[in-house]
Amino acid sequence: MRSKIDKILLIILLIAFSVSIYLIFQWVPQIKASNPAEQIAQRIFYFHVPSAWLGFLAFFVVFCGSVAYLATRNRKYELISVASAEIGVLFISLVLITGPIWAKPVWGIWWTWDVRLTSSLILWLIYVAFLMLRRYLPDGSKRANLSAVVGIIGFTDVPIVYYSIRWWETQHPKAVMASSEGSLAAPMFFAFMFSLATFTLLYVYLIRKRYQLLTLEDTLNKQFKEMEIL
Amino acid sequence: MDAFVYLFLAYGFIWLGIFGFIWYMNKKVDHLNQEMTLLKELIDQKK
Repeated sequence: MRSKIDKILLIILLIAFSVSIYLIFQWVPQIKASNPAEQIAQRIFYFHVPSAWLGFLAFFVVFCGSVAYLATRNRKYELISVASAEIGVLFISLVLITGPIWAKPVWGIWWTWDVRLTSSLILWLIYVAFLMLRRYLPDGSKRANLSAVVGIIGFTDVPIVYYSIRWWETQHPKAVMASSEGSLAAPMFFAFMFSLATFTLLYVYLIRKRYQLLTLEDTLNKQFKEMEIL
Repeated sequence: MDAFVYLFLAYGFIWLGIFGFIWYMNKKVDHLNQEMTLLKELIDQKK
């Protein structure tokens, strides 16, 4: 039984996705660079940065859900945290894949142990550990408490990843949106913001679905237990 | 094929993957809902 909101969200998402593909590959002008591969690789930016934003947003929701769980012991918050952590890991994985695809033609290497890259990898590993912890511990309050603690402590890496390009000298490009060092041309800015909005919408849809699924699985498990008692 | 086409295809495949995942989740929600209805009926019968 799919709700009407989900259906509307999915239709908007499909339209937004088609428009974003058009904007990124047809509408946005080519950047000026000596290397032709670099000109094309720059278009990864419209996918790479929104993926990172979505990852940060997802981990922020994990953080809030974990705090709310520890304060109230309400299972709803635990499930929201898990659903959000899964989505966060998925999108930080995309960041870690698209980054090297851009780096190869621009830097000449796939990977370097730069602060931004390393802290992003650590962030990914923290939330993979969060999901593994949930997978291997038996269901119960101990698992919920431990994962909430990991969810809270793990979030401390998000500001480190975000500010790493300001705090340390890094090879990673500086922020062009939230700094005075550079700014985007109007069409690039529009395409970027559109892509960002599409990804945020995708997050809203995915979290709704994952939460719905986790709640259903939870209810089913309870019903199975009830059946066993009968 | 030039790099532009490769990038376009990669972007398309990533989105296809995401929509595939959405399709899978929707199927699973429907399946779990069916399973839950059946279980409820069984529990009611046993009661």
